[in-house]
Amino acid sequence: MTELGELSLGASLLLRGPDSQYQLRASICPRCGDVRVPQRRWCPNDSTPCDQVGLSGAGTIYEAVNILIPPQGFDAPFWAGYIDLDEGARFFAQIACTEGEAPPRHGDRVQMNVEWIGTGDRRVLAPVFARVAT
Amino acid sequence: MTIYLSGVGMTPFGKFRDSTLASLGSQAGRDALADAGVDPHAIEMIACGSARSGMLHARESGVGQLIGWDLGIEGVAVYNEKAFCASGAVAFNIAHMALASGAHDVALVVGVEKMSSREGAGRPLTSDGMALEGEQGFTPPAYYAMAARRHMETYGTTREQIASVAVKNRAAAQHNPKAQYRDPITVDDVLGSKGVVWPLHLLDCCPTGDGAAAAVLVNEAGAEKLGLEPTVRVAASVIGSGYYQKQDRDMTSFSLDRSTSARAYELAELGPSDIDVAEVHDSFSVAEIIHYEDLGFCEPGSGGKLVEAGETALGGRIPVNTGGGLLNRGHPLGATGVAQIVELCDQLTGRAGERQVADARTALAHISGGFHEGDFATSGVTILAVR
Repeated sequence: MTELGELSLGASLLLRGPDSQYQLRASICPRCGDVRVPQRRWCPNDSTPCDQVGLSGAGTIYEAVNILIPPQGFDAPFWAGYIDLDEGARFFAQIACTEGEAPPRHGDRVQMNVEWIGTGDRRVLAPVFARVAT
Repeated sequence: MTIYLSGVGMTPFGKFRDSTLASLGSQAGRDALADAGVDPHAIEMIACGSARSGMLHARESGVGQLIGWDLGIEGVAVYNEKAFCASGAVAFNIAHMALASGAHDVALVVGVEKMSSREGAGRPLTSDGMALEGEQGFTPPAYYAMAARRHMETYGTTREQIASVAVKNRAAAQHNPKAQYRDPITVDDVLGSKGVVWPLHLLDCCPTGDGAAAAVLVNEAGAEKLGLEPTVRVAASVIGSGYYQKQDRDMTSFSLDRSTSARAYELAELGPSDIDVAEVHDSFSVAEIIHYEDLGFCEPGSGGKLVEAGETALGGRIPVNTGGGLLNRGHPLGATGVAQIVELCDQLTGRAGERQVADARTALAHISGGFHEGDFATSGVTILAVR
């Protein structure tokens, strides 16, 4: 079972929280509070060694697009975009949108779920963000 | 120390199955040397840009040495540069710095890429800096499609205005015999082509292909040594990397391009209104609109109107991408940064034929290269001027 980040970073981006819910592995600077996904060893603002933190995955869509011609290892179409997480990090991820549902757009509130994405040997367990009522 | 462009050359861009990195690079190099009237043995250094030679052709290192060997250049310093789409521009910048420092007096710059075939299967060509995003289906057009949506919503830029970039650049390409695509197209053709990442369609996206471009640079000592009287000087050559502290970036403007262009204008002691002709990174049609604004050719948010009014077309106030741009000349990654220089040199020396911009005396080349953590990895701006 491959989790997001293991192929490209050598470590999963997924954490299990105290209630066994998935969290997003991030770094936080103990000095300035800067939060990064994927996690950084040193804060890019003040070079302080960072701590690891798990993020709940609540955020707001900065922008989303419908990918119609997919890269190798994915079936099209699917939606993806940048999510501005509540803790301050911006994160690229797939966004759930079923047929007949309104397209995701700037400003929509979202919450992270964890699902299998991709096909064949490129399948990974990854965050997929779903819109939530506000 | 003043640096001059002494000669330029390039291969046609397209898909040439029988070509190799060596055959493409040395053909462009030979053309540039002939244009400059410089013997290969007079070259004191080579700077070579090639982004994907390792991934596609198992030639990770030494592409510059390979081309130099094929040209009969030996015993010289060779610098190989890899900076995504900006690889050729970074090679140009390295040569410029080497000549400006006096370390060398005569340089050959080559940009080359062969993308129509690869040895074996492998990863998609998405930037190395976006490998994590690539696990989730990221593609470069997705990035620009998000920028397009933000620009449309923020400034009211229309889908037709974005398509007009591709139409304008194709109109210029029909006068460039080395361009990959030359048949005229319309806005309806662009909007009717296959969807790639909504709202971008196939004709909003640059093709892949093969090609090479080259330039011979000399400093004052080099010109004197070789008895050359070049007419085009390099007024500024600036390279920058992305900005990563701020994460909530506004994708309707790219801060990296604003900073590299501001530095280039400062070094050249010129401003955007002084530029007569420009080559601007148009890997995707919407990019050119955003770059107009970041390069200072128009106010923020008015790039769509600028292209719609024909101000950046041949015959307009500031013609952009007179060679067809990445969209139509083609985009063999490492070659493009040097191909932009070739086009502008031809414009400044009155050799651009039917796409000649009248009385062009100053020119600007801009290129973006790759992504990293949501920003571009590289930006390059070069300003050329008639001496």
